[in-house]
Amino acid sequence: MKFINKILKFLPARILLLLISVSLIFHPNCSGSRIERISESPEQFNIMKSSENLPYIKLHMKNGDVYVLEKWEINSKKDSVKGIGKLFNPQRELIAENNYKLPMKEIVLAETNQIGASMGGALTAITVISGIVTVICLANPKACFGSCPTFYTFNGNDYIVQAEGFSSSILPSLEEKDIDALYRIKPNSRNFSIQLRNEAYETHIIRSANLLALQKSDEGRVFSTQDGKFLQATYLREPNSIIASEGDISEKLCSFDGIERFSVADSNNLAERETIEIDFQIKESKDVGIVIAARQTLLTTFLFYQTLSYLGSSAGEWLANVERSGTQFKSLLENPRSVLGNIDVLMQNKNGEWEKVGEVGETGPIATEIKIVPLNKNMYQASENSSAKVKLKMAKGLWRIDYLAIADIGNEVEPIIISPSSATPSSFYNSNVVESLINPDSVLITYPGNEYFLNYILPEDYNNYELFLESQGYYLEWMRNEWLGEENPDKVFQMLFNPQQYYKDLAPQFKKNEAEMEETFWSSKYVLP
Amino acid sequence: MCYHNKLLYIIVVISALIFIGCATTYAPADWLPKTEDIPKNIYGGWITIITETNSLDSEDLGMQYSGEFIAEDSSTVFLLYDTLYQIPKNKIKSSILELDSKNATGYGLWTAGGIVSTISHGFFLIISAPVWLVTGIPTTILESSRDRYEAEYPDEIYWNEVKKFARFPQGVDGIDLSQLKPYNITPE
Repeated sequence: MKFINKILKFLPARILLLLISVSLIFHPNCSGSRIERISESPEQFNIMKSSENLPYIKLHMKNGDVYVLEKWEINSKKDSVKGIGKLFNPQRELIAENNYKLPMKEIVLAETNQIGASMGGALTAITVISGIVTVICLANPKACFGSCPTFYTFNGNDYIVQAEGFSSSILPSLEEKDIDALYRIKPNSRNFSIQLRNEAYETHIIRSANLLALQKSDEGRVFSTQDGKFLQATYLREPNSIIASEGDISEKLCSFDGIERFSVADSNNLAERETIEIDFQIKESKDVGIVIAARQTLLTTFLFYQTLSYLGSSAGEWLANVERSGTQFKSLLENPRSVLGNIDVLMQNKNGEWEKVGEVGETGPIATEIKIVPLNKNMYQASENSSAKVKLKMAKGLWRIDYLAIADIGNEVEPIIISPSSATPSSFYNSNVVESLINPDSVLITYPGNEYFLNYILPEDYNNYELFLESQGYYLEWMRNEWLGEENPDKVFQMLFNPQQYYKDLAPQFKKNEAEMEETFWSSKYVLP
Repeated sequence: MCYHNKLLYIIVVISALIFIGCATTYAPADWLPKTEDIPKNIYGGWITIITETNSLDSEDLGMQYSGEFIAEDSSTVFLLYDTLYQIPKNKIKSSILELDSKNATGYGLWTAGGIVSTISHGFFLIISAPVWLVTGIPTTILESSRDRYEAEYPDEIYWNEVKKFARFPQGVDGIDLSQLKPYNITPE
């Protein structure tokens, strides 16, 4: 898998160069051959009879005549050859057509030809494979398409995806701000660039894309909370244990390294929950929080596209209704979302009951988001032991957790907002990219394949700051023909008014595709987490 | 619009890659036999010969002869077009011999169609389109250039290698060359 990832990283930037090289390697001077001609004097001619590969023999005579024989055979004494065929004169006019038996001594040169395999074999193989992929993607387009506005930053070697902007803002009325930590990036100068890409069949409308710089404490980091606060944090440490249904998963979650813990969805109910139990050491009287880095599986991607399929040809009408209806319809949209939920963080109250103290979670399967949830001091200090427990409760098969740690929480800090100072390319259509992103009344619109580099100037002591990307906007999904075959308004109503049943009904369909969907998406994706 | 420009750019680059690498044929359309018909074909290959310029005559830019490869002997190459041409070997600057018709255009279009079809692959396109390119471009170029014998200042090794593809590989001794007729292309 790592090898595939390396190849994928290599592909986009250098593919053209690679292809040119390949083409040059196969320059005509390096040509091959399909025609193998054996042309010998009779005494040296060692093939004795015709075969499937050598059906014809040509016998050249001294005077320029030529016999073209099939079903030919040279006798054992090698003094004659017989066969059925034609005789042509030197002008290559047909003289006769007959069964011939010719003395070898009259023949000057005997010739036969073998034809090798066609070059089209490779193309045929690719066509078959490509056709299979087409069929799979047409049968299950939800696995092959889909993304959100993606933001890449340079990690010293390559541009890696760091954020998916406003993934749940699928309509103008759902436009929102989204904050993503650029946790794995270490700027090496004040000049900092972010690459903005549109990599899906979507129209992205981006109102702003600002950097937020937050002062770190000594050797600490800054994390955002689900409600948009920024907290300094120090002394990040592993919990004593992290127990999921499959056992202790501490090893997988000990660092932010792409090794993730995830489960499969329930076979009967996509909203079925699972619990992870975390045991951590209590330390004096410090405020602590739990740091969680996670992203979604493809379950929500599937649900989103399945819903668009159920909307079918009336998708536009439905979405326009959402736009017109104000808050009423939007609150209905919250129903299916809330049933699936985020990653809830629970602690035990004094009565021993588990109580929710916070949550993390952001829509989207691509960029891993890292956040902190402050823990209730009173709760863990009430514990009689030297350690305390936290539970994470979430929908099965919905989350991929990469990193989990306990941290001491420091001060809340306010961000320095840094707008892009320049962009490459600097304009789209007749508009200036930077002005469009700075002016709240204008937007940057991108289409599939568009890429922009947004350049920022960081504070002078940039190493003392934690960087976040704050993007605002929405996107419009492009409908595809393959989605029109499942139009079913009843299912849409069910999703809005009875999402519990909706997730139960959809479970078998998702389970049928779940393994294949992950494999298809992650083996084909060009956006690497 | 930018998306369309990029798509256009890619198509132009791909086309250029395919067709820059492809070898040109000198034979008239439909003159060369299909590869599968070579075992029963009774004519020579199509040879194109460019002769050297005359160093004493600045206006002599050399000649290009093209026609059926009739035969060769120790000093001369025999080529039939409207009439028989006998070209001294020591005057030949370059020689290209083609044996059969190629399906390079078909493969080029096949590759282009395959690339376009990867639009249906979604994210997979990033793998499948390059696979098409990496397979299709070399296949097309190899197809255009296979079974083609090309040499600058061809020597005896070259002529020994190609003489079996002449109409008279045995040589022209004893053959009345004045009666030879060129192959007439008959539409299928």
